[in-house]
Amino acid sequence: MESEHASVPWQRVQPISLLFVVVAKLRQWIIPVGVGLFSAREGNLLVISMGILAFGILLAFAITRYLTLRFRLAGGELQVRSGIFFKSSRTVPVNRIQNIDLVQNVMHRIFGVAEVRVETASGKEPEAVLQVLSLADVESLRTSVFAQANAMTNTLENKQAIGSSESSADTADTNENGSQAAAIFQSLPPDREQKLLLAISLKQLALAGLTSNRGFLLVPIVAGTLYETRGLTRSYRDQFRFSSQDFYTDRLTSGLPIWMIVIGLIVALIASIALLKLFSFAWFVTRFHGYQLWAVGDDLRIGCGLLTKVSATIPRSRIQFISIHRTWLGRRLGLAAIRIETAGGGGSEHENASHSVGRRWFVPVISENQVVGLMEHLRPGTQWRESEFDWQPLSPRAGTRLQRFGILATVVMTFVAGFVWQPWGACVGIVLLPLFLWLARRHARAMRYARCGPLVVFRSGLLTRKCSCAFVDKIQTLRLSESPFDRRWRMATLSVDTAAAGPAEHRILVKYLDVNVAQREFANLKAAIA
Amino acid sequence: MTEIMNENDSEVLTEQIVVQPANETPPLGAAELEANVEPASTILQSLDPAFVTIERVAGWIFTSCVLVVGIIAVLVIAFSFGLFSVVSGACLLSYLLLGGLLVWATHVLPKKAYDHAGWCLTPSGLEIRRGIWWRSQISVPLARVQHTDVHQGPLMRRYDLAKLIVHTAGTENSTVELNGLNFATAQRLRDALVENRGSLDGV
Repeated sequence: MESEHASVPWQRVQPISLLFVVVAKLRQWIIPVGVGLFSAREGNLLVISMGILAFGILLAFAITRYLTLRFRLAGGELQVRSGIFFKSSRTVPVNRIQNIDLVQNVMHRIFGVAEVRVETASGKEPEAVLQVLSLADVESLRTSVFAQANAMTNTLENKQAIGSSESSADTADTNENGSQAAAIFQSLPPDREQKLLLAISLKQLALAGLTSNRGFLLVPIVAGTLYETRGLTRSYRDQFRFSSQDFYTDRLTSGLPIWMIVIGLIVALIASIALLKLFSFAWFVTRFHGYQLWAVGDDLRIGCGLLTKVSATIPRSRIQFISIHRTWLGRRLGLAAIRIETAGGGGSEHENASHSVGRRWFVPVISENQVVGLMEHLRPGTQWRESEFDWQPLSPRAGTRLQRFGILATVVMTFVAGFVWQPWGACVGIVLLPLFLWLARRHARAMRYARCGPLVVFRSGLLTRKCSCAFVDKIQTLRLSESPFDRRWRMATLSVDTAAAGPAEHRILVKYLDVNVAQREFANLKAAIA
Repeated sequence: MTEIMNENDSEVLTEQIVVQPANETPPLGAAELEANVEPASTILQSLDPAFVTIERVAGWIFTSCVLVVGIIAVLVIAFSFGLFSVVSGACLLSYLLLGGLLVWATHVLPKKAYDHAGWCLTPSGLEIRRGIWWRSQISVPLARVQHTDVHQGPLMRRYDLAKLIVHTAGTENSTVELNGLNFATAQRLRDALVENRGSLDGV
C-alpha cells in the first residue's frame, strides 16, 4: 500500500497541538494534583513529588506522540502513524468511516484550529483523534473522505445486482434520485449541493430550556458544593455533637409561626424551580446556540455551540434509528426533539460533546410542523404521517393485565405501609388503587406499533412520549419472546435490535402484543428484511 | 463406530441444510389470525440428540458434587445437634426435598430443553427457537451476519457436538448462540451463513 501511494505526502497536525496536549493533560490531572496539594498541606511531600514525576512522564509520552503524529489519505484509506521507539500505524478504510466530528472550544477558536474525531462502527472510542488541525485542513479532509467513501460504495452497489442485499426501500431511493447518484460518480465535486434544513432560533432554545429538566444535572454539583463548604467551615466536633436533623430543626423553626414556615417553604420551592429552569435555559443556549442542520451532498452536517463549537458530519445512509421525543410541556407548546443513532461509537456512556450532539441531541428542539419535512430529508422517501400509520393496538387484554399488576402493587404497598405506619398507613391503598388503575389504562393505550413500508415504528410513554422508527434494511436481529405470564394472557413480546442502540433512550420492544399479531408481524418483518 | 456414525450423519446433513423455499406471506385476514396459524416457514430442525446426553452428564457432575457436599453438611449438623433432634430432622428433610428437585431437574430439563429448541435456515435468515418456560424465537437475517464461531468444549468433542455463535452488529442480541449442534452441521451452517451474507458491511 505504501509503495502504491508513496506520492501522497504525509500531513502533520498543527504545531499548536503541543499547547493543547499540555492543557488537556493538566485538566485530566486537576483532581490528583488537588489531592497532592491537600496532602502536602499535611506535610506529605513524597505523594506530591511522585505525582509530579508521574505527570511529567505521561506528559512526555503525550508530547512525543503528538510530535511524531502523521496522517494521510491514500488509496481509499486514512492512515495515521505515530511513535519513535514503539511505532504504531493505523489504517482505516474510508468507506467504513461512519462520521467525522469536530470540536472547537474557546481556546481552539482563538487559534483557528479544531479537534477532529474519526469514527467507525467498531468499538466505543473514536478510531482516530487528530488534535489539532487547521480549519482548512479539516474541510479538505472531510470532503475527500466522504467523496471517496461515496464513490466506493456506489461502485460496489453497481457491481452487485442492485437490491441483492439492500432493501427494496433503498433501491427505490436510488431509482428516484438517479440524477443525484450520477452526480456522485463524478469524483468528488468540491461544490456539493448544500441545503439548510433547519436552524434553531434563540427563542426556541429558550422554550426548550423551559420545558426540559436539564437543570437537574446541576443539583448534585450544587449539593456537593454546599456539603463541602459546610464541612470545611464547621469543625468535625460540632457535626458530631448535633445530629443533623436537630441542627436544622433548631435553626429553621426557632420561634417562627407555622404559616411563615409554610410560606417560606413555598417560596423556596418556587425559587428552586426557577433556578432549575434558568440552568436548563443556560445549558441549552451554551450548547446549541446558532444550531444549523445542513444537507451537504449525501451527508448531514450539524454545527452549534456558544463557547465550545461542535460540528458533526453524519452520512445519511448510516442512520440506524430515529426517535422523536415529546415531553409533556413540549407537547403543550408544540415542540419535539429528535435523536438518531448511527453505528459509530455505540453505547458509550460518556457524553463527549461531538458525540452527544451528533446522536443524542441531534435536533434538540423542533416545532411540530417541521418534523414531517425534516424526516423526509433524514431518509429520502420517508413518509412520516404519524396519524396515518396503520397502528396495531396491543392485545385487548393488555389493559386488564397491567391493571392486574397495578392491583397487586397496591396490595403489597398497602401491607407495607400499614405495617410501617400502624394503623393508618393502610389508607395509602385507597389513594393508590385508582391511580394505578388509571395509569395502567393510559400506559396500555400509549403503546402502539406500526409497520409502514420500510419503517418499523413504535411509540410509548406517558409523560415523555417517544416515537421511534427503525428501518427494515438496518434491522440486525428480530426476537419474539413469550414468558409464562405472556402465555397465560396469550401475548408475546416483539423486539427489534439495531446497531449501536443507546443514545436515543428508546428501543423497539413491543410488549403485550396479541400472540397472533406478534407471530404475523415477526414473519412479515423476517420476509421484509431478507 | 463413532466414525461411521459421523459419516452417516453428514450425508444426511447434506440434504438437511438446503435453504428452504421462501415463504410467501399473503396478507392475513382476521379469520386466519384467530385460527392461530403457525407461519409457514417454521419447519424446524431439532438439535443433535446427544445434546440431551451431554447436558445430563454435565448436570450430573454438578449435581453429584452438590449432593456430596450437602450430605456432609447434613451429617455435621446431625452430629453436632444430636442424631434425633428436630434440627437435624429438618435438615435431612430439606436435603431430601432439594436433592430430589435437583435430581429431577438434572434428568428432565435437558430433555425438555431439547424438545423446545430448534433452528432452521431460510432465505430470510437463521431462525432459532429455545426456552422451556421463557420461550424465544430469534431471527438473524443472512445479510447481517458479521462473523461466526464454532465452539467445542472437551465434553462436546467427546460426543461430536458444537456450539455455533453468530455475531451481528446489533446491541442487545449482538451474539446469538445455538448450542447442541452436531459438529459437522455446525460447520456447514457456518459456511452457509458466511457464504450467503452480503458483501456490504451490514450497518
